[in-house]
Amino acid sequence: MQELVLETSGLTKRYGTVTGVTELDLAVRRGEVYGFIGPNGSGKTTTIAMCLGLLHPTAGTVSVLGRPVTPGDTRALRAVGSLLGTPGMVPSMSGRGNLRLLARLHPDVDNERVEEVLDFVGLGHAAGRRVKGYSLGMGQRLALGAALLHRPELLILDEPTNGLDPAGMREIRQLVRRLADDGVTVFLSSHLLHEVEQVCDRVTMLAKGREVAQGTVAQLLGGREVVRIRVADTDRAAAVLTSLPGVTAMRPDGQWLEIEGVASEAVIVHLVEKGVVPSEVTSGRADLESLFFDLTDENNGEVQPTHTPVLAGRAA
Amino acid sequence: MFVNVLRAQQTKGLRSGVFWVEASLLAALTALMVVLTNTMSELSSDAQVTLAGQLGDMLKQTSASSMGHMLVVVLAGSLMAHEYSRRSLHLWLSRGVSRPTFLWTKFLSFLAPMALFMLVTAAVTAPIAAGFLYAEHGTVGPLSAELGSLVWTTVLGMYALIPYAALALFLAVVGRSMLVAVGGSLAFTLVAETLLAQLLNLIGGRAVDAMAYLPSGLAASVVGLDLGVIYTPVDPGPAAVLIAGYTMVFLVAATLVFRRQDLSA
Repeated sequence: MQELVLETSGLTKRYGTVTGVTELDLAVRRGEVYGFIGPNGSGKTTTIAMCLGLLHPTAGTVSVLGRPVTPGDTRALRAVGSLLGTPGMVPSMSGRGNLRLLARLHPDVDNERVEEVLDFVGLGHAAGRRVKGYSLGMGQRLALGAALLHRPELLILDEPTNGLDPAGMREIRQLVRRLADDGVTVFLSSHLLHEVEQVCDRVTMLAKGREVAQGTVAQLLGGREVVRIRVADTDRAAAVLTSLPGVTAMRPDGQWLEIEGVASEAVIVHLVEKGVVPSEVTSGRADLESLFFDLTDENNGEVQPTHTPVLAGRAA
Repeated sequence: MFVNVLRAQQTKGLRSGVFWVEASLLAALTALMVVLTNTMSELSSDAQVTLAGQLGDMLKQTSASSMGHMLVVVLAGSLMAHEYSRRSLHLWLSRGVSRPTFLWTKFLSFLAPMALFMLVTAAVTAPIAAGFLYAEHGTVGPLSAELGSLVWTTVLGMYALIPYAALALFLAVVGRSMLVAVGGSLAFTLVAETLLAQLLNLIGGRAVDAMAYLPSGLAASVVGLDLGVIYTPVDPGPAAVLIAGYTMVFLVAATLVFRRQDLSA
């Protein structure tokens, strides 16, 4: 059985009558890259803040590396590196100065390690400049460097690619994979579902504070072919396809209609039989984004699992 | 961990722009006060004052007058409020620094800037006062014999300022903003204590003696500054104990509030 480095049980956070997170169970294994995904406002940052002892949970528990974490006892976090929100650096100090300041918390972190981290995150050339002159991307890199400074066993990253250009996003993804290859467990939250799909081993999908799916990316997307057809009248085509057995989801997109659950050949034959001829047909693998829209009704925001949430792979 | 966090807090405090602005302001005001003091004493042909005496007086002014209180509450309030606004305390707490450790090291980190305030006072007073005294009397009077007394005055002066630092810290934690921290502390220092003095004065009798037990009165007692008040000052020993009491009340209250706070991301 693989060791769990981050575990939550029944984690709940309520603000008066508003519920931020509801009975969330997470189990992150050592060495994996774990994606924590959902739209803005779904409770990702709230969950991470509770894991880092910044918020008092209304109910439930958090444990890191086998030790409980509460706002009153955060000793377990000394082996954790985190990037949460806007990094709180000292603006009048240089990037190097900020990291050296944080290094004072860790006796085993010397100036050489600081330089190593600065190079690792691509800030070696700007280390002497004041942080208040940094771009958003440079600030994110510095925050990531701060999280890596003390060689953490667990890295918790909340939207690490925020403010980065596509090149920067790719660099972060590559960096995360490198860290995982070095044995660091990474817990990564993002609302950019395609990004998570590229880098994560397992994911938990959150919507309105509740878990709606959990498992490996392959398990969540397995067998989900998406057929896209272009028709003059998508409403008529959708009405026709409701009588096709096996269709699990349909989504109009302008002149296109996305269909899941059936092969492209079956769609074409059924439409033609009913007098609807598509002008274009494509098919491909479903992605996390389409899964998310399947699991949540974007019209009224209700969570409506059309698939049973996959809970495979949880440690006993 | 405590010592490491304290060292880091001190570094942050001494690099703060607020500290350097206040130190500059203090230097300017001290220079002005020393010049005026010596000019007025010349005109009145009054007062033989030694350099040690002038240094002692200015150190007492810095620590036990409204000027000193304002400097400390602005510094302490802004440094703690910045931790909220810049989210830097999230950075530290999420690395396993406990909340009491963060708060208490923050308070202790105020001591270095306060000591530097006293140093600035002495460094500015000495040459200006020496110049006037030498020009007037041809001597500055014995200084080496008074050094021990001056150091003790400096220490007492710093001690007299700590309840104001603790108050500003408490208000910063409660309000999570510079407006509440600095505004509230200044309101206490400049308005509440002053208005209360006037009110108690109107009431008359022994009521005015209550002023001696407010932080401003206790500060004056500890450093031996004559504020020209009509109440009976508290003896320095009990005044020092009460200063510690005020400080502990504010710090404990701040710790209790801070431990229960949700620090939103």
